[in-house]
This record gives sequence, C-alpha cells and structure tokens, in this order.
Amino acid sequence: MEQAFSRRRFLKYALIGGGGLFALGAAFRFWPRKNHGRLLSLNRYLADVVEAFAEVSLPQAGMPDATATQIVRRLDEELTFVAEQIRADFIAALYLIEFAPGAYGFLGRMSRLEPDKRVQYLKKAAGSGSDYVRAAASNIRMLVMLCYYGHPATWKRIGYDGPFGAFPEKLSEQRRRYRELVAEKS
Amino acid sequence: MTGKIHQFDTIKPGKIKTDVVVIGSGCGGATVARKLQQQGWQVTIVEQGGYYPTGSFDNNELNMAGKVSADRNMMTSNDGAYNLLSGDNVGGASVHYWADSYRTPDDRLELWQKQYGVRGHSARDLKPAFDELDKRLNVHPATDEYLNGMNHLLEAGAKKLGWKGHRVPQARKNCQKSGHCMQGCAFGAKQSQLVTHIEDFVAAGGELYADTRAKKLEFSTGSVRTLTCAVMNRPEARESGVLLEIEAKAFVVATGGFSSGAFLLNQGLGAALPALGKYIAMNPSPIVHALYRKPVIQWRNIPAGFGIDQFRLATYKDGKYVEGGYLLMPNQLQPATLAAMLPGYGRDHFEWMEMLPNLGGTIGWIDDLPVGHVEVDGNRRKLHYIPGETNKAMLRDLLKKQVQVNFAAGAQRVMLSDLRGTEIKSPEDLSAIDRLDFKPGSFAMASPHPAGGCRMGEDPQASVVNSEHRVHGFNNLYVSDPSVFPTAVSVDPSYTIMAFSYIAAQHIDQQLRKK
Repeated sequence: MEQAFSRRRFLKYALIGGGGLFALGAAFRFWPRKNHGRLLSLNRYLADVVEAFAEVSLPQAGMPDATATQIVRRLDEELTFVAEQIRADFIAALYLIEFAPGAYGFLGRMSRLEPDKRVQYLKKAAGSGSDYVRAAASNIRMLVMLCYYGHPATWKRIGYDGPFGAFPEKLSEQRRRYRELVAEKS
Repeated sequence: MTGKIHQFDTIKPGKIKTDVVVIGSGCGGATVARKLQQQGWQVTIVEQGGYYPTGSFDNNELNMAGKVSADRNMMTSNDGAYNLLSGDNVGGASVHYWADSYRTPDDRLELWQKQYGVRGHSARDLKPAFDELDKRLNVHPATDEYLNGMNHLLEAGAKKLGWKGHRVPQARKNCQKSGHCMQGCAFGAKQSQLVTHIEDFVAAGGELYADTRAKKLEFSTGSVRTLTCAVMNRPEARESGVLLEIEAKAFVVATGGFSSGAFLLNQGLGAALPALGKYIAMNPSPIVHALYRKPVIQWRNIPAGFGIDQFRLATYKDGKYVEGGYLLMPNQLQPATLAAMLPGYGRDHFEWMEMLPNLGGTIGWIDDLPVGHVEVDGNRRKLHYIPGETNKAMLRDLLKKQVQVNFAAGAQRVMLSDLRGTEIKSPEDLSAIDRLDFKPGSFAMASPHPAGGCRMGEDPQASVVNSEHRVHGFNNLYVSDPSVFPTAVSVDPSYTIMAFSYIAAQHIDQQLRKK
C-alpha cells in the first residue's frame, strides 16, 4: 500500500514539531552564531543551520572551510531561482534537521551541538527510521557537497584540473541579478 | 529566410496566429516542429526555459546547471527519494544529455504493439526516421580514442566476466573530449537539439519563443482554439505579467516526460482521461563508486562509450523476477555532482574525494515498471514513485552486477551510494545489497529518463493518446515526447523520442490537410 506521504504533510509536521522544539531551544540560546551577510532565501538562523551542517560534513585540515567556499551564499543563490515548492521543502528540511536531535538522544539544536555530537547525530539521522529525517539529511548533505566542491578553492587539493578550456565564467542573467539584489539589500 | 528566437526582454503582449504551436523544444518538440515545418506548415515553438547558445557555456558545473537543467537539478520525487533530471531551456534535456543514441529495440516496439495496442510504430515504420536522424546527428559507435580510463576498465571487466557489451552509438561531431556533456557542450560538438533541429528550424524561418510558459488551453467542443502563455522574467525566474495568446490549427504538447501529464491535468482533462498522469517510469539510476590503482580521470572524454547490455531485459520465472532489466555504463560526473552522490561525512567522505583522479565507478538505469504517477495541486506538481518489489529487486541485481564488474576491472575499493556509505569488500560478499530497502533518502539516486503519463493506446480508459499521438476526444491536440511511451524504452530514450516525433508529424500533417 502506498505510504501516505505528501510534501504538505512533511512541511506541516516539520514546522509543528520544529516549532515546539524551537520554543524550547529559544529559552536557552537563539541568536545567530554569525553574520552571514545579505541573503535572499535563507534567514540568518537557517544560514547558521547550513553552516553548522557543513562544518561537520566537509573535510578539515588542509582544505578550505565552509566560509572560505561561501557555501551559505551559494546555496542561498541556488534556492532563490528554483521553484517555490523546492525552496519551501528545503527550508522545511533544514528546520527538521535543526530541531530533531532530541529524538535521537542529543540535547539541543543541531547547530549548537558540539561538532563530535553533531556528526554522531547526522550519522544517526542517515540511518533513521523516519523517511522525513533521512530524506532531509540526504538532500541537505547533497547540496552542501555540491556547493563546496563546485568552488574552485577545493579543486587543486583533490586533483581536479578545472573545467575544460579554463574559460572565464559567463554569468547567467540570474547570477547577475542575485548579485544586484544582494547589493540592494545591503 | 531566417526566423527568430524571441527572448524575455523583447516579447510584447499580444496575439499570434500560426498553423501549429509546439510546447517545448527538446527531443520531441524540436523534432516534431522541424518535420512539420519541412512539410510546409508555419510552426511556432514556445519554450518556458531560456535560450543559452553554446557561446554562453563556460563548463562551470554550477553555472551550467543554472542554465540548462530544470530547477538546477534540485527537483525530486514527492518523498525526496529521487532526483528528477530534465531540461528547462531551448533544446531541452538534449543540451545536458550524454548523446547516447540507441534505436528502439525491436522487442520493445513489439511489446508496445502487442500489450498496449500501439500501431504504426514498428521497427519498419521508424527506420526511415532513424536513417535520416543518423545523418543529421552524425550518429556513430564510439571509437577507442573517445574512451576514457573508466570506459576501458568497464570493457575489460565485462570481457573478464563474459558479459556482452557494445560501443554506444553517439550523436557527436568533432568531439573535443571535454567531458562536459552534462554541462552542455561549449563546442557544439554534441549534436543536441540546440545545434541541430532548432538551428535548422530557425534558419528555415521558424519562430521560437523562449522564456514563454504555456499556461492555458482554451477548448471548444473537441478542439483546442488558443493557448495562453506567460512570458517569464528570466533574471528573476518568475512570470513577468506579459501574456501571449496563440491561435493555431494544431497544438502539440512536448514539455517532457515529467511535465506533459501535469500540464494536461492542469487543463482539467483528468476526469475524461483516467490514465492521464499515470504509468510513469523514470529509469532510477544507482551509482557504485570504485577506487582504482591508476588514475581513471572519469571527468574527461565521452561519458559512456562502452555499455553492457547482457542484462538489458529482465527475466522472470513463473511470473517472479529472476535477473536483469538494466543497462550498465561507466559513470561520468564532474567533481561537485560526484561529491553530492558520494556518501559520507567529513573524513569518511574526503578519503574518497582526495583520490578523485583514481575514483571511477559505474551507473545503470533500470528498465523499471511504470509505477509512478503525477498529480497537480495548484502550481505544485507532485511526482509519486513507490518502486515496488520488482523494481527494488532490479535495483539490487544491478548493484550486484556493478560491484562484480568493478572488482573484475581491478577496483581496490567499492562503495554503494547509500546514505550509510556501505563498502563492499569482495565480489562474493553481496549480502549487504540484499538488505537495501530503498526507502526515501536511504540511497542517492537520480532518474534521468521519464516515460509515461500520457501513455499511447487505443482505449481512452487506459491511455491518453492514440497511435496518431492525438489526445483521445480531441481533433487537434497532440503529445510528442516520452510521456506517450507505454513503458520505459530499456535504452536511452532520446533517439526513440525523436523517431516517434517523426510519426507524430506525419499524422498531424495528414490531419491538417483534411481540414
């Protein structure tokens, strides 16, 4: 029998469940960890979530970090130009991963867990019995990796010689518009 | 006489009158438009995506996904389990496809004829189309010089195991071996629709409206009278408010396998056509990663020059699945997409990424049973796909064969694309694969080849279009893309889409001449 599983329900549960935990978490600490600059699709709390996720997903020594590779900014840009339903689902996934640690025995929001606890949590999420949590963890991880290894700063260390022909970047209208909009908000 | 590709910044509100309007410019839309134009009809193409000529390509993975891939490859099935790949640009998915150009296998055409009542699409009917397409798209088997390290390894592995393989027919001319097929070919060497049928169409006077989203068909007792389109503001990826109304004698829906069913559902045709949006296959494509002793440089040269077809057709005993039902190919991804598909976090993940030159692997697409369906909810399109036990069994068998052939080719380490990053230690130790359940988010997988949603057949209760590609109950509404296929094709579908579009054009031409 087909599992009853709709994006609307996913979003609803994510937001309802997340909302309760959010209120609890806010009692402890809820200011952003850092200023991520002007963003169009992610708010500053979600930007924290992305960066915290990236911190434990990416390699450590000898490689540029999430800040140097502008993962938050690039992910924000990518989300700005996809269909509304994709953007909404991805944001719901971020909230779910941020507020679900309690269900796996971790006290606190994902972005405020110590790095070793955070990675333990994400590994548990990957093997979770919840379709929602697994799919959320999987899709966030994929986009973080995509943005990280899409950045030229990572290429030399992994032995990639760059795009064939080393053409100068040819920015689309959307990439140019994103830069304008971010500048306008500044 | 030269036509024009109109774009978002020049299209004004207004009305257009034409003989045929084609919605979509991929393998189906561009081909049917070009053939109808050759038959003497005035054809107008509307394409919701942007126009990016090859001169705008820069081979940068993320930049190009924003230009030639629908929703930047971020669209998934409703449960988040499968990445749905399609094009959203002039030329459609052909601009980012691998250029594999297989003629439809005879057994598949016979199946469609016998089991689904498809007429007029036999191997004999399609041969003239394929012969002509071979010339226009320069289709030829891949030769040695275009095989990268992974292709050679796969060929050697297959030989060692005694598995039948073949050189994959390629639509290319003067290939520069860049490896950027999925980013669009900056050299125009890959013979996508952008540089073949679209180019021919415009050169012969055709009018193409890019950035123009088909919204509403207006019906009048068994006919479509007009199509209303919304012009997109491309820089902001939203509708601009400019509307275009197109009056035509015939309307052809060719928005692609993931979209045509949804488009017609949005027109309110679901009640009259119970099969609309149903019976969707999409070739789920699991990857197996493998580390080799020597560099394979998977990101250069053509993606799939050699393929294993030993297991193309599934075998069954007493109605129960036994083995096969897939093609098996070398994998080719640029590093960002490869990293996204490679499982693991932190050190575990980087351990493989830092060996990138030696990192190869395989991919296969299962000839899945068409268990998917699409529904629309306002602007939301939901693709539901619960694989079922037979499709899961195919996936497991495909993964086992991929593990075996990578080890046979000399792989030092082999890993699945499941979220846990299961490493397989030997070709005999395959039990971990039997435990895979493919629940949402448990296995990173893309689905590049949709089929169905507007299935062809003669019974309006079980199909959407008849064998003339005409929607049941209408005299001037057609579908010409993979959504008409009753099942998946069992090989890359692009060439079948084009050949079927030749047949569609013949019928549309005949119908128009009757009027």
